[in-house]
Amino acid sequence: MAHLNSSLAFLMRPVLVLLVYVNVSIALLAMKTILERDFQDWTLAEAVEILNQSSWAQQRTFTRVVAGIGSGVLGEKEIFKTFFVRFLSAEPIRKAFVRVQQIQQGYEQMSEDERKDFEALVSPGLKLDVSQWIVVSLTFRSNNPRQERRVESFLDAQTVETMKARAFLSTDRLSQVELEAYFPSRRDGVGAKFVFPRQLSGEPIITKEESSVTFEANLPTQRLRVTFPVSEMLLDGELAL
Amino acid sequence: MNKVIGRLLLTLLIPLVLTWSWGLGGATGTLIGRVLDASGQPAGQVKVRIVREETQQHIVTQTNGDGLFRVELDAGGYSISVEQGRQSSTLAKVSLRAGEERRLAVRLPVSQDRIGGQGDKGSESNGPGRRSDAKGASLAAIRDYQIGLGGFRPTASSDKTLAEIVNPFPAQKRGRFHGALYEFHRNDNFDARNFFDPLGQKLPEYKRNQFGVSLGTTVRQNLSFFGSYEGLRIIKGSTLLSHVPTADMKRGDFGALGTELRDPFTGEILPENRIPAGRIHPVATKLLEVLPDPNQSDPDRNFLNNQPNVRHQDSYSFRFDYQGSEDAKIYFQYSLTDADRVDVHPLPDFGTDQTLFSQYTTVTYNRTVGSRLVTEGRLTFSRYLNRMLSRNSGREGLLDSLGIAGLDTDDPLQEGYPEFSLNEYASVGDQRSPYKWLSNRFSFDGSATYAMGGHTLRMGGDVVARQVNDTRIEGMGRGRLVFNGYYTGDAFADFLFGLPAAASRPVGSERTDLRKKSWGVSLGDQWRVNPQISLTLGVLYRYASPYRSVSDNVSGFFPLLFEPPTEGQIVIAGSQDARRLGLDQAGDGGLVFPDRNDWAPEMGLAFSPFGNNQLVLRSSYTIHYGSAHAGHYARYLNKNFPFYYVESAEAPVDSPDLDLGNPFEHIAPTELTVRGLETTLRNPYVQRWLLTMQGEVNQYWNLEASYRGRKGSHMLRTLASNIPLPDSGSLQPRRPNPEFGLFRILTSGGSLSSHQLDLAAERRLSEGLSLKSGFTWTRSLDDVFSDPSNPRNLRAEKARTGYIPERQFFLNYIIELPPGRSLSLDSEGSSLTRQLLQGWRLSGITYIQDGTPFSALLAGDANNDGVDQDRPDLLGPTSVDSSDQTVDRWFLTEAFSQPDAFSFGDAGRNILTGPGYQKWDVSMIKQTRLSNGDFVELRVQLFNAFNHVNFRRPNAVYGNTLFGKIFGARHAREIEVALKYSF
Repeated sequence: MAHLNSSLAFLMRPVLVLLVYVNVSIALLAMKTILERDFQDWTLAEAVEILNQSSWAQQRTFTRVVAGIGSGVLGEKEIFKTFFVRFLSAEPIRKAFVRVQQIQQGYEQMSEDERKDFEALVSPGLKLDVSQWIVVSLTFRSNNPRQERRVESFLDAQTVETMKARAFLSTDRLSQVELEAYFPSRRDGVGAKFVFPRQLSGEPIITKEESSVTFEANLPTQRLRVTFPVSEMLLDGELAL
Repeated sequence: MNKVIGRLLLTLLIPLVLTWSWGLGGATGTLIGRVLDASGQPAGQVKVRIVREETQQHIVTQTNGDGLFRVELDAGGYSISVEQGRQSSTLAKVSLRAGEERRLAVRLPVSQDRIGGQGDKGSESNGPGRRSDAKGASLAAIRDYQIGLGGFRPTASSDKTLAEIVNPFPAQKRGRFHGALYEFHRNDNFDARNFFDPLGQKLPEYKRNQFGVSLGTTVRQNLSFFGSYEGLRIIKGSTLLSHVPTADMKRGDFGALGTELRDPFTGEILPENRIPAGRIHPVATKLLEVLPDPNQSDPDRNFLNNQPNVRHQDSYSFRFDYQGSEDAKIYFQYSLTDADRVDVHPLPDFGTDQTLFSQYTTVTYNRTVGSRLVTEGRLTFSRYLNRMLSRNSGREGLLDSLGIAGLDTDDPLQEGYPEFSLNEYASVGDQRSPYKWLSNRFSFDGSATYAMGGHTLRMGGDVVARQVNDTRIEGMGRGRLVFNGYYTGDAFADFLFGLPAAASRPVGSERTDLRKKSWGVSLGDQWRVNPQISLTLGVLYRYASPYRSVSDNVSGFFPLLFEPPTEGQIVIAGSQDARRLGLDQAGDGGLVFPDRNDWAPEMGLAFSPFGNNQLVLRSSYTIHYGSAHAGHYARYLNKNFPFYYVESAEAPVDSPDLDLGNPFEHIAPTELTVRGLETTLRNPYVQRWLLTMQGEVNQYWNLEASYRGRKGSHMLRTLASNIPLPDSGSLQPRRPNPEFGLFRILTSGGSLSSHQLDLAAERRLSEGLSLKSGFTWTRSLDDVFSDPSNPRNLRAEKARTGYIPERQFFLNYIIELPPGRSLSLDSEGSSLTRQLLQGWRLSGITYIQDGTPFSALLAGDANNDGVDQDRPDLLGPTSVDSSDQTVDRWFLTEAFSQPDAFSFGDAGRNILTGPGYQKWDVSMIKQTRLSNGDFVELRVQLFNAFNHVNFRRPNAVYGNTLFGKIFGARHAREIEVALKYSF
């Protein structure tokens, strides 16, 4: 048994490293290719990927097993909870939102006038002034309607004062960057918005030299902690956050 | 006690040390802050108030020209506010650690005016500012940012909403499989020795493997599938200690017994304490073959059986989720469990083989109508089979070969040994077999929730039909013989002479086929009156019909009176007699009138004086109804003459009238026992009331104090009747109604009351640490019992509730490791080092409770009134100081004495307290993330980590040599290693 364990341990490390390396490399290469193109050329799948699996967006899925007759460790019912965390202040995210809107509304088939109207609608969002703020958006979905309602009502009922004790941004240098403003969801898919200052005491809270930035939120059913590698948030060598 | 305190300290020490290591406790730290104005410039000469949250003590300091302030503070939680003129704004809350130099920058708040919007609900803090500020404008734009394009042209490319497209669920799973593989393993090589396992010997074999796989996928955009399989294989050697006769005793030589044996027929002392070989009963001689010789040196616990219990279980389940539209979802679920288990008996030639088979399927439909109405409907079917056979089942001719007249069978499944009860010696024979339970349950339930202003209205209902088919639960098909030592002074000597004190056997078929229907409707409202007050009001009505038999095999004794027993007769349900007596109102196949008064109100009030979570007072009052379950009806409804009954023969204490070779020789048909249910059986109900005070100490800690009251009425209990007063001589002629034997009737006359105080503290998961601890003190009294000692004095049965401990304590904790950023390598370390050092979690569950109450009893029917459960006399206090308690003397056995002949003992019910219970489970989990959503999880779990010995209850039968001694303990420390891969 001891021999087997040591053999497994010996094999496990290189296998883990290899798997992580291959996964991360493939994902980053694919993402870079997408970002090098004009966002108006992105497909729906690519835009959704940027909104969910990119350097500025991650999702966390938690599963829970509901016990029932004869259930064991897995049971017969799996409940999903998925949190979508995005840096809304990052331009690629807002571009991806616009691209989804374009595809959804049939932008390519629009007349010139319709396109102008459409762009007038989406342009403020695309050009959102985030020079002072870093904005994180949070949405939640679950296959348990009761759970979904519970989290939504919680997020709806919060104010910046109550959220200050529950949501933070942290970097290598700053353990807790305090929330500046909080906006509940408008039920359109963007989710609740957490606004953090971009600078404190004249110093940026994050620079491209740092390794990671983490969004942390203590929610009623889950403690959420999502870390983003800063080095992957660079566009043309500059931090796009 | 000292050991418990030591372990608690050790358990608490782990989180405390770790907490200290990332600086949440002790000593002082430094807080350096900078206050910025709304434009981001340093705000000089501003008063800063720093309030310690635990004590509300505060200090006030002032910023310098650069907006800086610096203070030395004790470690703890602080809130920081800034005073400007008459206004004060709380800007931050911080936790300062010992030795930490905490840097903080706070910005004066942005006011609602500066945001420039239209009053989005409660999202920003108020404060001074300028309407035209550019930052305010950008905040408003952030608030108003949305991707919905209301009023634009209709959707062109998809029938899905934008929200569904950008938040696909489960997005990362769609189009590919996801699931998990796992194995949880325990074995005896990892485990500690059970207290009663012999020293110096290998531990009993133990192998436990729990393994499985789950697989899920999204088949189409609106259709997903999830399925799983789990296997469980357990081989667990038992530690079953018992007391068996020695080899000498089996030959009739009781010289080493220490008690002088009497000749059962003359009353003379047996010469040399020896039973002559020629007087040993031939049936007893045959049974000696299955009685093993002692294999242990302890004279009381002289036989150890380490044969393994075996369990083999397979569980399958799958589920489909279909989203028909944005507002409607439907899912289908099916699960099946197939299990076989082999359980051993203290003696190696006996044991049981059990099959458990269950199925469950349901279809659920959810629909949301508009934004306010949510509806759900569910159709469910479940089926459950439990079949248990003795190990000797199927050995054709075995029962006949024993030569006990009146015990025979043609059914191979009924084959085996009768049950021989030998007082302090291990029982011999096959028990509780054959047993079969087969039930089906069909149900439909629906609910609707409607939100309207501050009201959330709920209404719902359900209909349930239950079936019990081809079920038998008596498990005494081969009869039962009891030896109490009345005639010689030793139960085994009585056995060798072949002189049982009682014998019983079943006659007829006990097959049970029952039906029941129930339905209920409910209506309720949760009303948020204002931010401080919420009300909950509701009512539930439920009707549950009594079970009825569909096999035309129900009869009962009429009239069903207890005292004084009167003349009466056996009446068959549905017969002309039954109709003449008015029993037809109970319905065909039943003898119990329905109870239609089950209205259950629900009231609740939550009051938050400050309109937040800092202090919440809650109170509620509810009523919960139950009903007699199928087991009650299976045991009592169709168990009477002429369909099925138990014939009993009992010999007087002072006269050995029964012979083992033909114990049923003198049974007269009129000595029938009668079993039944009170015709006016009420559904039991419990009233509950609650008062809770819940407070938030700071952002991490919650405290809660509660009082809970409970009052149970119409609780079900069994009463014995047709019982003579204690006296000498045969029972039957002395019975009030000598034409019948014992009446055993299920009634709804019991009551229960309990008062409970709960104290709890909780630290929410933050900075990797979560704790919850609580203490419960309960006082509970009831008169719910299975048989009273004296049926004419039921008040004497009111006593402490047998399953509720007086004090309970729990502590649950989760510590995520590494503790705090200072020890983490997420910035400096390599990715491999990060993989190795991050993702650890230590968690534990500690639970400690007092022992539960139990009664001291006398063996058999000591006072000769036809009912067991007789109790001894009590001479004084029974408790032994905990430092003097041993497995051979758990309580003061000399505090009890034999009551006068043919009288009731004065010891109360449940006056003894069993051994307490302690659970110290600890687990360490390492989770390694391979890519998004993929994890490898390694767990090491210690059950009973400190190897605390949790003794089972001591022997409670007064008068035998084992009284007050303990023969078993729950499991010793077990270690489980688990590996789970989630993909």
